[in-house]
Amino acid sequence: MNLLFAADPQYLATEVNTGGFWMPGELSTTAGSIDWAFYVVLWISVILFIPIIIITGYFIVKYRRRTPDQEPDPSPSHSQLLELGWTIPTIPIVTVFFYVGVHGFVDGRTMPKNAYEIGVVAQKWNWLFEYPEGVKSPELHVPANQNVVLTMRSNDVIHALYIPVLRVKQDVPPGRFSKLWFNCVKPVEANLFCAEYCGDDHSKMITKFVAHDQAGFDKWFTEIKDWRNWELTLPDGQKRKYLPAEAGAKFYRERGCQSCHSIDGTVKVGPSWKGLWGSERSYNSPQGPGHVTADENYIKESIEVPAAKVIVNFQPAMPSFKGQFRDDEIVCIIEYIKTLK
Amino acid sequence: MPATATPYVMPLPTPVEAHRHNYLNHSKGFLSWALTLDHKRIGLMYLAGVSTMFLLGGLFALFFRLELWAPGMQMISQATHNKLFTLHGAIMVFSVIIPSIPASLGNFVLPMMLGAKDVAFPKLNLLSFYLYALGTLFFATTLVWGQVDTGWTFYAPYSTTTNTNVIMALMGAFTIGFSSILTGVNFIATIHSLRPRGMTWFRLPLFLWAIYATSIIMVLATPVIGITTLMLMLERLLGLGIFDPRYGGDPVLFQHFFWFYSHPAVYIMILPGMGVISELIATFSRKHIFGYKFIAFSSVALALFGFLVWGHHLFTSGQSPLASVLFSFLTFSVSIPTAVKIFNWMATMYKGSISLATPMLYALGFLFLFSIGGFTGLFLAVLSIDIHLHDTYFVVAHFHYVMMGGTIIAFIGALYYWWPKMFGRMYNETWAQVGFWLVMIGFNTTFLPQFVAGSKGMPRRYADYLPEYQIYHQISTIGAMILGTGLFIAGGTLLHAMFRGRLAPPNPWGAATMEWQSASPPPHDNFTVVPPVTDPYDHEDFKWKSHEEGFVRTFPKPQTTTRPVHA
Repeated sequence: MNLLFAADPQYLATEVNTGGFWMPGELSTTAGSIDWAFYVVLWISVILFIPIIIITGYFIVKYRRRTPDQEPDPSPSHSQLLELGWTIPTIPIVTVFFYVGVHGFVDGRTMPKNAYEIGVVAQKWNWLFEYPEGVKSPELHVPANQNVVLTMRSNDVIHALYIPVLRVKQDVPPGRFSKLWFNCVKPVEANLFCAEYCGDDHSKMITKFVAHDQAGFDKWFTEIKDWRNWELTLPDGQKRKYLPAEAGAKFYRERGCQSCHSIDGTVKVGPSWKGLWGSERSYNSPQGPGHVTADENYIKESIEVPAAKVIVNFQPAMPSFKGQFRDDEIVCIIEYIKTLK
Repeated sequence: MPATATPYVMPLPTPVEAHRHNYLNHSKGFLSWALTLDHKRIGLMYLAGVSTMFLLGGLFALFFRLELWAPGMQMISQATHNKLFTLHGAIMVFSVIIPSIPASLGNFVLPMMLGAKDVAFPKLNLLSFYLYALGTLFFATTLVWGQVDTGWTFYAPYSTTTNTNVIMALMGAFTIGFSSILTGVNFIATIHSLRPRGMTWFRLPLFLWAIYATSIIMVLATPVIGITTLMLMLERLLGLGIFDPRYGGDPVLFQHFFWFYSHPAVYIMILPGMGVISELIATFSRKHIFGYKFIAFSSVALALFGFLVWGHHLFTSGQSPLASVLFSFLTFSVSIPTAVKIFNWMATMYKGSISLATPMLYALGFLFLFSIGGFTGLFLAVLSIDIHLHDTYFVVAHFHYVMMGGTIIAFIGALYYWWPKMFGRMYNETWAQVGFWLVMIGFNTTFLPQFVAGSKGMPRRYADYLPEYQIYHQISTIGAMILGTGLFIAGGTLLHAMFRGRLAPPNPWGAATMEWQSASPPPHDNFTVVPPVTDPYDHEDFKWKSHEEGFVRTFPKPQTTTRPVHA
């Protein structure tokens, strides 16, 4: 049977193609108040800006110097009344802005009770979402019309989770947990970005946000739980289950391996996987240098305790993926590496 | 007093005489420049440095804007893009905008506006220039050695773990910081001690109020960035756990330290620009500036409030919600003095005699662009909206409207304004205006679409983007090319004027500040006859003389002495 390695996932254009001129579609329970605040500030600004332009333009035309020696008409150079007249009205305007901002912000920062909880791991340069029963997904799938709380952590540098259609954003610094909540009002697919600059592939740290109705969410959950449930669509439209190597390829793409390991021999942060299987590896370790054949145990160890054997000429840059892959999933990755001759 | 009735013309050398002997040809040779203590020459050396770095930083921007023409990577890798935007930001902030107006034009103009011979500490001034040159050299070195990719903000722990040459860039920021502090100390001392008798605080030109407020921020805030860069260097070199949580540090602490300097630094960048605009609008309207005290005090208010709002860069960082609420509140307080200035500038033009010479065009351009920058700042100060807009192109567009539409536009306007004084030659008005309009059209085409891209969710610092954002990026790239062309024409016009322009009269604009009552270019000692101290906005004493193609002072003010106290 031919192995099928699906292409990189396609992202949807929901953000830009829905919504108005300014804002993307409004899909969370809190988005409405944020957009309302945006338009309040926008229109008050426009109402204040236009007279500034018109009055300045009028002065330029009316008082334009026509001959080089034209002198101005006398007029006062200060007026307490005028100064107070344009200073004091700014105070209530900015107070209104402040108030609408605080109102929406506090709603966003107050975590609801009885929410569906999802763990988030951010690392260069991919997202991993942790569900109950140890289920992991590279995409964020949530039930619609339900409060969802994300408890986020970072394995390396600061990232930020940003879903424009929900108007939510939260930095994820390493060394602490960061929380975020939302309630998506209808089933939808949209983009999820990393918004805090995190290095080379920062702009590739994008994944899909998918909200399902309850039935759809349950179906997705059962399927994602075990790669043996995954279905692949063949070019002729038929469906079949994933082979281990195909699942391994999907893990490679979606769980962060491809950020540092190439499959075509290119040297990135880590060694390429091309020709890896069965090759002789020279490594440095805390116990000193050594040689090893790249077999199942070596690959499992490199995933779970990467610092144990660091290949010569590479930095010990890889974080531990212990707990992120079950043994049967590591088998898939091994099967995939075997195909990369 | 009877003396007031006597018509009196300041005895100034003719343009030809001024060109025969002035500060530019007072002494010759490389060392006469390299070791000069003349504030005017030091100002010009700063100007050369700032212009070179502006060219470099601008070319970087044009380059990555071209890459952003289409999704996918066409010309450069993501890593190269990241290095380009990092150097663009770091160079533009530390080597261009911060020293642009205060160090180059401030150095040239400040002592002359006081009728003084030099700044209070000329040797310190030269040291300050060499620190700037050294710091800039550090940045330039990273180009060929180790290329930094942290963004100009150096956020930890990315900056402590990336394998690029962060130390070199930090040394650049650190060294330029010292240059800033020394310049600030010098300017404060100069304004306090070298004002001539009769020049009370409320007779200072508003440009000097702005420079004074700027200097105070430089002296108080810059040490914080110095210490912060030092801590970051120590963490990288020795693994001290200050910011990296792996060693028990706190990455958000770095952001607090960084913005504790960098937000006040925004006012280091914009206040001198506002000072320039006050001079330009009053002079080219031939009017006394409206609400002098309100403008002067609003500069000081901005300098003070600027210290209290750094937390508004951290609304999404995870700082406590209460802190965010307080910082949002304080941020709005900054908007009020800014609005006051804009209204006062408009009122100054009322019933004026408004000339639309190039410096005034730039001043009007500043009013337009800076207002947009200010209004869009309101969106970001509103807490809930900032959660959505933070780290998107909306922020990029906002700070370009403020920093470039504000400071750089004021800087170019100021160059056209003081160019005749600096080099004794006039620029070509037609080409200058062509440059101005291209800059305005290009600037708005570049950055207006970025507001929309940002509110649509386009994150900043992306080397690549999703296809649905392409239209905004394409308009922006076209704008950047027009803007680049405009800036080349503006710069070319100035360079042409420097060598080929017609000779300038001492006072082509009819300004009443003291630097215009000396020859163009001025002599080594600034003044042959020290002018009397008057209100810096009494334009009616200056009358247009067509045979000189400039303005000539006809009446001295009686109530002041002509004797400079520091002589």
